[in-house]
Amino acid sequence: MSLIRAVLALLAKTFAADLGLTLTALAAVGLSSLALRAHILTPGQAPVAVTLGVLAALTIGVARGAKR
Amino acid sequence: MEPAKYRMPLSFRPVTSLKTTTMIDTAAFVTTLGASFLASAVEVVEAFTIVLAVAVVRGLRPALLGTLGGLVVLAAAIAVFGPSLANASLPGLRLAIGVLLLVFGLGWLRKAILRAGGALPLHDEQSAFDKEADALRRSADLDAWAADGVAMIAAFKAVLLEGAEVVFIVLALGARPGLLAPAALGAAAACVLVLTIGAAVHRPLSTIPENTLKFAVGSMLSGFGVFWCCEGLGAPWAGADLALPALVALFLTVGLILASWVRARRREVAA
Repeated sequence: MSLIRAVLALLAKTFAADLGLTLTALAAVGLSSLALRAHILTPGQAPVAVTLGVLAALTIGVARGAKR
Repeated sequence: MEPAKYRMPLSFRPVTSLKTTTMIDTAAFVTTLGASFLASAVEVVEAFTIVLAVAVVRGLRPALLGTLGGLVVLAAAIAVFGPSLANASLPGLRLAIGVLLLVFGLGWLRKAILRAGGALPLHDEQSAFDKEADALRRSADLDAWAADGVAMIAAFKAVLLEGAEVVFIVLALGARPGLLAPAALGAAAACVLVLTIGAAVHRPLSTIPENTLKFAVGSMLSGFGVFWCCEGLGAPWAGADLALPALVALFLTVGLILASWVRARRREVAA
């Protein structure tokens, strides 16, 4: 039981320690994907959009962490 | 024979594209090797601390049995998941691996930035060792067989959990033709180096600059994650694999800027 608890804690620590950061990063990738499919972004622009979105997610996550 | 006026200029001949391909391959190889080495070193240091605590408090036998058990389970996991992830060619699989690497890497990088900026305490291997050793000493009230069992499970759990992260990193970084070898090589080199140093000094490796390593690893995994996500979305990078080191450098630079911002902000609040 303690091993299962440890595995669950590891998964939570890894992927949900800062749920806000995880969700913002996923949103950046998801929105870029949607924009690419809707031809709002070209395949050449999408990597820039994903990178900027992820960096914004990181900045927000750090700012929230620094305020605690 | 091709007329002279239609001959390709020397600079556009295949030998140049071979050079470019070699440069791209080398960039991906070196970045993968470095990321795998550093990430694995961080995890092996953490596992070593617990196994060492077990060995010091309860002896070598439960430490080695627990370690062996953890390694067997990890080997089974590699045998099951490895072949399906290696050489991932499906865009969906690439995207999934990219997202996992990204979330994993961003988590490490954020924590390393906050630690470097003083907003979070640094991870202390000596304190982790003391905590584990205290817990094991408390179980000494049990009979010897049960106390050894508790110690063995502690070693098993540490090797399995930290090792699972190493396996995930190696498989994710190596899930591309030709990159499994440098990913595995990096992890193996980290294991050998950490265990050799650990066996020589026979105490927790608390002098290793863990947060600096995590900073670098977080940047690398985030860079790989973004790279893979875009490839999975069908948006290839200009410069192909040469974009990888550039992305890692970008995350590292932004991370350092954010860390100095956190430090400055804490000074302002304290003043």
